[in-house]
Amino acid sequence: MVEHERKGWIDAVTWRLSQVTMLFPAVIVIIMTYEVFMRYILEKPTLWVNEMSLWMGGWVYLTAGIYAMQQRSHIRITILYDVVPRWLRKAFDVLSTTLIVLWAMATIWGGFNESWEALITWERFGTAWDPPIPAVTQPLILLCLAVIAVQAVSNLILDWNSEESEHQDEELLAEIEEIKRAQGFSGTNDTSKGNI
Amino acid sequence: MDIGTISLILLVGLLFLLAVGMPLGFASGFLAVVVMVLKFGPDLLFSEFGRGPLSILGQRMYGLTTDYVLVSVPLFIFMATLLERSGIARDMYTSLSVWMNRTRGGIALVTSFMAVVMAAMSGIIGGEVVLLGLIALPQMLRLGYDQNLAIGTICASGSLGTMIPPSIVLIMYGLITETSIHALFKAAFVPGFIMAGCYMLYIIIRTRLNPSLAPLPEPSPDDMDGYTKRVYGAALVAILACSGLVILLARAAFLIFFDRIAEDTTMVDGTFIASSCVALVVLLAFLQMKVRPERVSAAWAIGKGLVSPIVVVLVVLGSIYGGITGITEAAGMGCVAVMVLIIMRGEFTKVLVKEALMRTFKSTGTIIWVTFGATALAGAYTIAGGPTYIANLIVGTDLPTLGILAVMMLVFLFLGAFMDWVGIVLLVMPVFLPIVLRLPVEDLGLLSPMVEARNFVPIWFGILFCINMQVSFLSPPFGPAAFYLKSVAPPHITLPDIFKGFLPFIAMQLGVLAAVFFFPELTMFFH
Repeated sequence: MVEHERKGWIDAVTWRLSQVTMLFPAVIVIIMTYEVFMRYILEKPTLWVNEMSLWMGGWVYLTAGIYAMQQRSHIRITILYDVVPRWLRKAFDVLSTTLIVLWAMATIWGGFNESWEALITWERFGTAWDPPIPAVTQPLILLCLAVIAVQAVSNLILDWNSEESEHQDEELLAEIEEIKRAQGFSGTNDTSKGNI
Repeated sequence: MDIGTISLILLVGLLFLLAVGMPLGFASGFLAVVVMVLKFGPDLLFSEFGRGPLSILGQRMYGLTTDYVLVSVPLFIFMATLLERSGIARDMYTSLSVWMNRTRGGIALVTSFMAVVMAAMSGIIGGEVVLLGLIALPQMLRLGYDQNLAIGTICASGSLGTMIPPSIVLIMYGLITETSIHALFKAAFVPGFIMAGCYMLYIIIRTRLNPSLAPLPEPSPDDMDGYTKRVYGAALVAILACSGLVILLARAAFLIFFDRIAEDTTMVDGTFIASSCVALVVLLAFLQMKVRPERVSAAWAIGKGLVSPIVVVLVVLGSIYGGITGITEAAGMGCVAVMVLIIMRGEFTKVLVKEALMRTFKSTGTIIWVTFGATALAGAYTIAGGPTYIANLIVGTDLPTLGILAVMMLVFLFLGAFMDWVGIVLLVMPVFLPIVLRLPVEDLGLLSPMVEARNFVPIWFGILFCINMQVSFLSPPFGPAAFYLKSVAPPHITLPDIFKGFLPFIAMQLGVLAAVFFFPELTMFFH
């Protein structure tokens, strides 16, 4: 896959983290297969698979948001953004980054005690297997929000002098190249690039 | 501050933040904070660090992460990305086109049919349009098919992925509105097939009336005549039926041998076993005596491309409807099925899996964080009393019930032209659905079919929403299907050309929308 380039140490941290958590969907599939096998063939359903997948799912959602932020691939509408002059675009970027930081701060402000208590009392899920889902996921939400805010600031600084603006088109083209290659249509037709 | 002013500020703020290009999820998250500040005042919210009403924002997000159904989202995305990277779709196309190449408009029909099968495998669009555009579009253009017909067929059929179950749009709708996703999937079947049927009927009628729209390929000596097609077709059906029977008998044998038969276990009684054995013998005799082994293997060589998709559809939909697993596990089993097929086809590489996982991870991040932001906003707005306010406002107008619903459909269509479906489900549904539920149920639909089934209203509304989103995939100026197709189409096909090709298909979608709008019965067949 063609990834957005990585600059700076924050990008490096995000990328390393993502390398691990992006494997989790595959792990979820594997343990689910095990569960289905145990349940229907051996009739010994496990207690832990459903809750483990739930738990890992949470990690995937949260960290995927950081990765998507580093890759500049969060869903946004760029009708106006693409036509305004460069200086105004910068102003827009400063505004959205500031608001993202404010949002993260407000959420942490309101939720810190609850998450902290869940963590130090090692709050459990209250089921048969009883994993400490609240104790881990609740603080992780606030942590990921903070990291996303930091990543947003880092993006703003790193993109300040770059001229590229049409991320989403590049994104699309990269994905399509990948599918073409996988399908054996390897002749990259450069003619379609740039005029999409 | 009163809720009317808050609502107005919220609306203006949202429009403004989206216009400046702030990501949708984060804009909603920030506006959640704004709503809280306007409602409670900064003194109360920020008086003490770590507590206060703002904790609702984190709680809403945590609530989502503990919803088991949401796990199916990354898994369905994973399955779709794996499918896009395998040759399963290409082989299905080759297999199907052999049967239809002497039929007028055959390749367009094959494209539609293939899109339906792919829609039943996964619940995502994008990849599907790209695949069809890569595989079928060059064929159609080379044969001299009408460009608009070719483009419209590919994009409209390719968008069916989110209409025919499993559909990621319905999963998110079910999650947000707490509606049964099983029920939504059952309800979506008939409208989905009506839509696909309309497309195919349109292709047949147009090409019959004007054969120059879809020229036939030059006859080649390899073409099968009608008789051969019938024999081969019968042989393939017999092979599939045999495999099915063998699997069912193996299951029965397993259950009997390990003494696993419960009261409600079906298809294990003596009559069933005896009759399937007889059917199996008859089918095998037919293949052996009538068709002859050499023709059976020829038929298999032609038709085997259809087997992998059938297996995947059976695994996914069979797990859901057979009651074997829930939706999340069905998605997991679908991934396994696709993976096994990829390995059997010798296409497995580390790069393939790694790329699929990265793509999955990125798409998951973008979809889920819109969900996070929007759920925080919906939570804050509900605390501030917003939905009730809007409901009173709308119910208070003297619009008739159908008028209110029609306005909602227009809002969906309008938003759909500019915004991603996830955003609409998350931001608009918490406001619209309570209103719909308060409307007099006897006014819904021309024949008021839901008087006896009041709890079916949210399901029907979900299907209406899903059809609206079908239109939004095609509607200018941002119909995503057009951009996906553009990227694989020859350069001389411009975006306006593509949107022009969509027009008749959008008209058909609106027709189906109207049909389901006036006759909710269409969604109630498996109720």
